[in-house]
Amino acid sequence: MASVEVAVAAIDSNRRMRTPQIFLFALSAGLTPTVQAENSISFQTYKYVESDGRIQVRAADLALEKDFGTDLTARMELGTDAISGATPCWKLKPGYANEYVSGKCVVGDEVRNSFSAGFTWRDAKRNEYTFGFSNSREPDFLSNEFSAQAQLWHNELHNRSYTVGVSLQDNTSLAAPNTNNTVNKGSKALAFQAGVNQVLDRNSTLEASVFAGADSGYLTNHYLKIVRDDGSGQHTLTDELRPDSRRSGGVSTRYIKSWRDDFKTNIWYRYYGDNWGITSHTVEAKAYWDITEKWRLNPVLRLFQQSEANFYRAYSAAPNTFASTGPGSNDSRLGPIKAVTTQLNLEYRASKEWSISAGVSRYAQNTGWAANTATLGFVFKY
Amino acid sequence: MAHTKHARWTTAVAMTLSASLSACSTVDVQPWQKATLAQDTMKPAGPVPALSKIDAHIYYSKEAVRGGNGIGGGGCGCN
Repeated sequence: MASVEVAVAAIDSNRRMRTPQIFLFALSAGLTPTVQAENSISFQTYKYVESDGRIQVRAADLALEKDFGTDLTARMELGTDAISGATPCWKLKPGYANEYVSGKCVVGDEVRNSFSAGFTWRDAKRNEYTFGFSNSREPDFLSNEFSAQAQLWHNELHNRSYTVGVSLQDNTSLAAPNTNNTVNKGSKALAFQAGVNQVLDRNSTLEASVFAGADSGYLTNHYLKIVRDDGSGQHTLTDELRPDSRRSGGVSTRYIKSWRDDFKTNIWYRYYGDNWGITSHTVEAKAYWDITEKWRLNPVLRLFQQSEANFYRAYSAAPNTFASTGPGSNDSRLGPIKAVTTQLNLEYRASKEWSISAGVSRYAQNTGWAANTATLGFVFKY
Repeated sequence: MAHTKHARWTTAVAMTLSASLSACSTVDVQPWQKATLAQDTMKPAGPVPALSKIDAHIYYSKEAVRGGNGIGGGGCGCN
């Protein structure tokens, strides 16, 4: 997720001050003026395995960032992931003509390739304007997104900034041999976020945002089926169906604090709600502990809770069938979820230019289902 | 009904956030005092932003909730 965030922009902008300004500030601080380039190459690879053997993913991500002078930064990112395994589905109950039982359906090996590019332009007041494009391609899905964001400083001290951003996604569920559809079906996703970031003191920042989303079109999972009951006990296996419109919104806040030179914390909270009946709370806490000059530990704890969509019924629920018309889904992602993520990353900073990182993460839902992820990668700055 | 409840929640939390932000005691930090704030570990996505993107991709594929963590990032089928 190539999020463009307020505090990053705030700090980057300070780092990328125009040369004369840097010279004046450096003189006033009694330092030798230097201008640091921000060019970087980042590569990350990861393996994701679900605990019940449902899905496995192997993925790699390459990101490049380059400054062109002090007013323009360009970014490009390439990603690929290969998915294999099985997913829950309905199957015909042996010996019955119209009775169905939940089971697992094998997902054909699938490769997703993604590409994103963007640039940030800074004006004389160091306000930032970021524009981006991303493309994601799978055998059964195509997504293109355009995004734009402005980050405006409150005054010349650059201790408060205001950010407003918008993105538009154009998605297409492609008809494929295993999908419910014989023709492609499209959807649009519009997202908006506005926020304010405040430097509280020389060791902490606080950010508060509101966000909203408007999705429309074919929002249904084109693989999943549901069982409909016509009221007389007659069961029919049909395509799952979701409303063709979704309005969502919420608020989020982030507090970043440096407790000591070698210990920082980053706490994020989000409240979310939509007109499908889903509400959610998320809290994520990260810490960065420099255990030596070269080694850094980064533990992460995330707590997530969501309520179910009003047209959701679990495979194991009673009843787990739906009326002969109207929306319905057994997709557990629309169900009630409580999840805990525990993660530990280790970073080795070999030099000012090179750092290598490795991590393990466990994402566990209250249903007993869990997934483990291992990451390995490097960042090279030049 | 759910939408009304959601609207009330959003309004209440937004007002709380606004009030807390405006009530925060802040000091004017000068540019030469921002050495700590400029460190990678003080950025929202941390020193290795790709790790946050990997996490976001996993959550996107396993949960029904999006937003609140910046604009952009692209979509996926994630079926």
